[in-house]
Amino acid sequence: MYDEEWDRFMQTGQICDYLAYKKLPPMKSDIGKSEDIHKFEYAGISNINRDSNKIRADR
Amino acid sequence: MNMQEFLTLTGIVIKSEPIGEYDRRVVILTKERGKISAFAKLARKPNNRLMAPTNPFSFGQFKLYEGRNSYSLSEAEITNYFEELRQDYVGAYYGMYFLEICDYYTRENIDETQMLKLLYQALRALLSPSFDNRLVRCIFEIKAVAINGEMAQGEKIKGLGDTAAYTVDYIIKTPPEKLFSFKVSDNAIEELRRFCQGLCSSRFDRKFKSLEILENIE
Repeated sequence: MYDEEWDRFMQTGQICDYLAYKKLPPMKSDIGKSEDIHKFEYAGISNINRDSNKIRADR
Repeated sequence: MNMQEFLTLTGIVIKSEPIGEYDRRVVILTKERGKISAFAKLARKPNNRLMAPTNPFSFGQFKLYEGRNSYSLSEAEITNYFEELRQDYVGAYYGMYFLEICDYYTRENIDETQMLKLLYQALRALLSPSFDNRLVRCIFEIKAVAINGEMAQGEKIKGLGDTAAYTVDYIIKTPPEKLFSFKVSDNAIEELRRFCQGLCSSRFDRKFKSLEILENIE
């Protein structure tokens, strides 16, 4: 759980320290979930006739 | 004679810095005492039981001694380390940005339950593949400003389209634990981002280190 490189990254906030933690070269493309975001149909938050509390994230 | 009080607080580590050769000073946003600072002796010594719990994002129960001038951390039972944030540097920077806002707004001996809930739910939302980080950020910024009483009446609808205006209103009125439960279109997100940019520039009187990096890498 503890990692010295991660600790250093949290102190400095520098990308180079994150890369040292991951031991990876820089990635040009988006990483993480940003690639997995799909365009959802408009959820209708402004549709006041619809109960917005029924809109739930698919976790 | 100094009487030390022993107590257990629920919270998240929002800041951690090394002290001396093996120690740490941590800042914890707690439900019971607001934002507190605690000394964690030997937390950086290999295999010490406080090593992992004193990392930022660690959420759980913290057992502390309350001295005359400061708290000392004795033990911690962590229920969520949010370790998955480490896998995605963009997510990590969002998380760090939220920690910085919490550090900016919160104070000791103030009821900061709402900010703690907001932070916890926002970190969970960052880890969910269903949520656009940009929307999570907008929700966090708007709600943090509103919780701290800095959302001017009527500001929420000025210059916004119907969707964004309704979304801002919804964010302001909804409790943190129910906030991260909706989606909006990309156009609405972009409108919210512009709104939040203006909101934050007028509310925050300092720059956030993680945000500067985040806006360069996104």
